[in-house]
This record gives sequence, structure tokens and C-alpha cells, in this order.
Amino acid sequence: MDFIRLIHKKNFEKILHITRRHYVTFVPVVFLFILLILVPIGVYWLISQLYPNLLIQQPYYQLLVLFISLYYLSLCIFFYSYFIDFYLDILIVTNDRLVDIDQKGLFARTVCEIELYQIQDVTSEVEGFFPSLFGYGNLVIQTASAIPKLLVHNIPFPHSLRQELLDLADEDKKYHRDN
Amino acid sequence: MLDIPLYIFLFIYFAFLFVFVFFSTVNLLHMFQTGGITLLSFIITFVIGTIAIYTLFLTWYFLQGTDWQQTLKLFPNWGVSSHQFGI
Repeated sequence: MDFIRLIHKKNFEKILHITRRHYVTFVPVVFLFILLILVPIGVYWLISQLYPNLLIQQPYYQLLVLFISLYYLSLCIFFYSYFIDFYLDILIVTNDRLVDIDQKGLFARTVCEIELYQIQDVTSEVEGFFPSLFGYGNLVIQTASAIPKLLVHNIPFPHSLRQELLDLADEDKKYHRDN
Repeated sequence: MLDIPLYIFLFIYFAFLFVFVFFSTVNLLHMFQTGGITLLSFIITFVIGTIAIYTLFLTWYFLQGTDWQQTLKLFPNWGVSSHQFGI
């Protein structure tokens, strides 16, 4: 299923932006994953130094192999689930509305939809060393809809997106006033 | 003394593998259903898949030929009467 089906795109609608959280915000998780991959190697070295006979004794050796295998497979599944959680937080901007998809873990997803003409104010924030360096930050969208405030975290180029959203909201307001 | 056959641990491992396959499938379904197939998601999926397959292969490689009927002896002093300790 693609984005058109995901947001039930209307005939006249054009998808203008599909924005995800900035990739840089995922880098610490990658480093943690690499570090955790290296942990059993360190533990193995430590055990082989302290109890050299333990690793060659029959039942303990098999148990150790099973345990390390479980550890690596758990690591894979946790990392991949975290990636899915990160990657499926999507902000879709069309010429009619704004759809914010928030994946919460594996079994929860919130889809929030705001008509562009309902947008009242948009604030962009870039705070901190890395956000300033890589150009990502938060977007706070205030609306006249049932969702008064929408927060979008760590998106790339929030200032330009804020301006574009305000322009699109103006255009949509004009359209709704005239029709 | 408590004897636990080694195959019990193998069954626990298989139960975990079932959970692993289930969660992997759910993750992949999310990816397909949300239109998340891009170069980055492909690379991450490929890397994780490779690590998982390599882990499974190495597990099989290191454990082939294991006698799963052998037992792990826990608490070897359990059931030993007190006179054996010289009391």
C-alpha cells in the first residue's frame, strides 16, 4: 500500500511533501546497536580469561551458544522495531490537508488530519548544537480544528516548511472564502 | 540435585524463534503497508536480516552434533544427607 491509499487521497489532491524525522536523530541508536553487538565479544574474552575451563565443558558451552544467539536475535528485533517506530512517523502535506502519522511501537498508530484552512499559526524551533548543524527541529501547528495543537518533532528544514504551510493555508483559506 | 535435560533449553530457544519470526513479520508488514520501502529501509532490513541469518547459521554450526539428552546439573549438593558432610 502506498501513501495514496494510506491517506485516502482525494481526486483533486496533490501530495506536496512527505517528511520523516531527520536521519541524524537515528544515529545514536545505531551507535548503541553497534556497542551492544560488541558486548558478548567482550564478555567471552573476560570469561575465557577468568574461567578458561567453563567454555569447553559440555552443557555450559551449548547453553552459552544458545544464550548468545538469543541475545543477538533479540538485539535485531529491538533495533528493527525501533527503526520501524522511527521511520513510520510521517508528515504528509497535500494542497488540501496535512496528515500526521505517528507510529507508537508495533501495535499502535495515530493518524491526525488537519485541513489547511484550519491552520492558524505555525511555529518552527531549531534548538541545540546538532539541530542547528544538521538543520532539523520541531514544528508546532496551532489549528481551529478538534486538534488545537500539533507537535511534529525533529523534521528537516522546519523553517522553510513553516513558511510553506502558512502560504498553503492562506491559499486554502482564500479558496474556501470564495466558494 | 536438580537435573534439567538440555533439550528443554532448545525448546525455549524454538519458542523464542517463533516470537522472533512473528515480530519480524509484523515489522515487515508495517513497512509494506505504510509505503516505507525506500533505499534506507531496504538497507536497514538487509543488514538486520543478514545479522539474524548469520546468527542462526552460526548457532546451528556450533551446536551440530550436540547430544540434547545430556543434563545440566543444578545445585549438586541438594539431597545429600547431613552425615555425608560429617555432621
